[in-house]
Order: sequence, then C-alpha cells, then structure tokens
Amino acid sequence: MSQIFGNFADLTVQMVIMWIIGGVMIYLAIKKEMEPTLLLPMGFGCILCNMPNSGMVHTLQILFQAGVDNELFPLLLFIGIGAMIDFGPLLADPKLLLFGAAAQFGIFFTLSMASLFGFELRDAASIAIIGAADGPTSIFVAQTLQSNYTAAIIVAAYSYMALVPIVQPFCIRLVTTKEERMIRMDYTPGKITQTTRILFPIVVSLIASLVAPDSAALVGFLMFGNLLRECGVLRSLSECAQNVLANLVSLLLGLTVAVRMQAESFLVPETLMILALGLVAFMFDTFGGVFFGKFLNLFSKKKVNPMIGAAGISAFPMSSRVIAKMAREEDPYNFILMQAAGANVAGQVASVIAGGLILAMIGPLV
Amino acid sequence: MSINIGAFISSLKYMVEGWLGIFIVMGIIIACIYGLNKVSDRIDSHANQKDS
Repeated sequence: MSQIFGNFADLTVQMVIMWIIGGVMIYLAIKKEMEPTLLLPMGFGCILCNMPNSGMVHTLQILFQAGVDNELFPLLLFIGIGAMIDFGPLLADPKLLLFGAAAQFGIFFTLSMASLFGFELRDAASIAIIGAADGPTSIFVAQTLQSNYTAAIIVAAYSYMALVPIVQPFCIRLVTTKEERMIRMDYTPGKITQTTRILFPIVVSLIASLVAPDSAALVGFLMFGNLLRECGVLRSLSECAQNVLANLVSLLLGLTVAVRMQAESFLVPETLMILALGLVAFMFDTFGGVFFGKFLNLFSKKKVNPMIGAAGISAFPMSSRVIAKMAREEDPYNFILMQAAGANVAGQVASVIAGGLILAMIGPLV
Repeated sequence: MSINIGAFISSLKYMVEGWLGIFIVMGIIIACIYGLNKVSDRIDSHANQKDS
C-alpha cells in the first residue's frame, strides 16, 4: 500500500497549479485552436513533468539535450518554415521589407524595458526576442544566450503568436483612425522569374551571414527550406520539409520544452514579468509597423494603409490574414491581403536577422 | 526584481543600434532584390533567345 500511495505525499500545491496551466494549454489548443501543434504537446508534457518523482522528466531531459540545448530542433523546424513560405509578394514589391524592419521595434524596446526591471542582459535579450513572434528564433536566441528563463520565454512566444488575432486589432485600433484603415492600395504584381526566386534565398543567406554571422544558421536553414521549394526539382523533399519534418519537429519540440515547465522553476514572479514583457514586445512591434506606415504617408503620394505595417511581425500567415480581415471590415471592397502577406514574410526575414543582431551585440558580453 | 536605471540607459544603445541595424540589412537586401530582378530578366531573355 505504501508503494501505491507513497507518491501522494510528495504532491505539492505548485504541481497542481502546473496541471491547471497544462490543462489550460490543452483547452486552448483543442477548443480555441490556438497553436495546437505546440500548445497541446506542451500542455500534456507540462502535466506529466509535474508528477511527483516523474520518470517523464528524465526521458524529456534526454530529448532536451539532444534537440534544444544544441538548438537543433528550432533549426530543423526552420527548414520546414522556409519551405512553406512564398516570397513572391515580397519580391514583387521589395520595399515591403522596410515594414519588416520597422515592426521589430518591440524587440529592442523590450530589451531596454527588461533591463530596466532588473533582468540580466542575457535574459533581457532573450525576453525581448519574444517580440520576434517566431518560436524557433526565440528558442535559438534564449538557448544560445543560456537564459535562465527559456521555458517561460517559449511559452510566452507561442502563446502570444496564438493571440495575434486579439492583440493586433486592439493595438491597431488604438493608433489608427477609421480613414487610415480604409486606405486602399493598388496591387500590380511585377513579373518574378524563377531565377529570382532561386537566387533570393542564396543572396539573403550570404548577406545575413556576412552582416550578422550569428544569424547564419537561422537564416541559412530558413533559406535552404525556401530553396527546396523554389528550385523546382525537389518537390518531394520540399513537401517532406513542409509536412513531415515540420510536424515531427513541432511534436518533439512541444513535448521537450515541457521539461523546463517544472513547478519549482516555472512558478516564480519572473515568469509573470516575462509574460507581461512579451505582451509589451508584441504591442510595440505592432505600433512600430503602424507608425512607420504613417511616417511613409507623410512623404508618399501613393498612400499606404498603415495597417500593413503591423503585418511586419513574423507571425506568418496569421498576421496578414488578420490585417486583411480588418481592412475588409472597414470597407468590404478593400483588398490588401497581398501587401500584408508581403510585409508578413518580410517580418519573417527581419525577425531572424533581429535574432542574429541580438546575438551579435549581446553574445560577446555574456 | 528591482528597477535598474543604469542598465536601462546602457541598453538604449542596443535599442538604437539594433533597430537601425535591421533597416540597414533590409536596405541591402532590397538593393539586391532589385539587382536580382534585373540580372534574372537578362538571364531569362538570353535563354529565350537561345531557345528560339
């Protein structure tokens, strides 16, 4: 009997709180369909890792060392993401890359805010990268800088990505007028040759590797995935990367990350602070993109709908869909999906480069 | 958790450098895309001429 019930004595209130958190994640994944590929395994893993004397911890620790400690899983996931992205709208209108740059403001603003609230520089930089709206980049940067709060950062990154349809419309309405949201934009797609599509990932990898060598792995894997997609001779590998590889890595990543969600390290005041700062990063990313659109309108004859600036965050393709939907809500005949999609893929590139720049600036100091 | 004004002020440097840095990298990529579009147009038209 003591063997059967002995474990009950080791159960703590904190563990039960973690079960509730895991349960909420599973609920959000299934009922609200919020990032289910990650929130469901994370939620389930969270519950199992918070059992007294759980054997799951040991198993997941092995996976963590094999795939997250050495940044392998996020990089492999990037091959899949690269294979999923169509850079066509961006290549047709390269100026949209500037929106991607503008919408990274939240990352650098949050870096300063996290420093203000007493986080070490390595943790402040890792928290800031939540604003990249890009899970693999967040994991990569937090692990490379050896942050003490990797789990909270990953949970915040994926949670806020799932909350884009709630956070972004609120922020956009806060800083734009109805007239601005109704601005129509002509879309005249330029002709993009296959040669351009093939050379683009190679050239971006070269530039990023030269400017921010720390981003070479991130950008390189992302662009390798895209090259698989665009080369036209590796259809089966491209499909494998988009579906099998991305799903398999997401599955393992979600479960593995849960090992860092043990009550004693997760239920600390800093976790709440990180969640709050992550929200600040997302909000200021959105503000940065929108204000950049407004800034361009001061000089440009062709007005830009400032909402597409908000799509410059990397949450692809959710952000561009949200922006296009908002435009149609204001004016049913306003179609800005292609411009928003262009800004959105620009955000994907910009967020990875932002991660590389953070590593280049902060890495040598920690 | 304590307020650290000194760390905040020194981190402002990273805020400015980082954000500007992304604009510079993006500027380089934009220039490259325009260049790529021109080069690939030439390559493709050259290939088409050969084919015909």
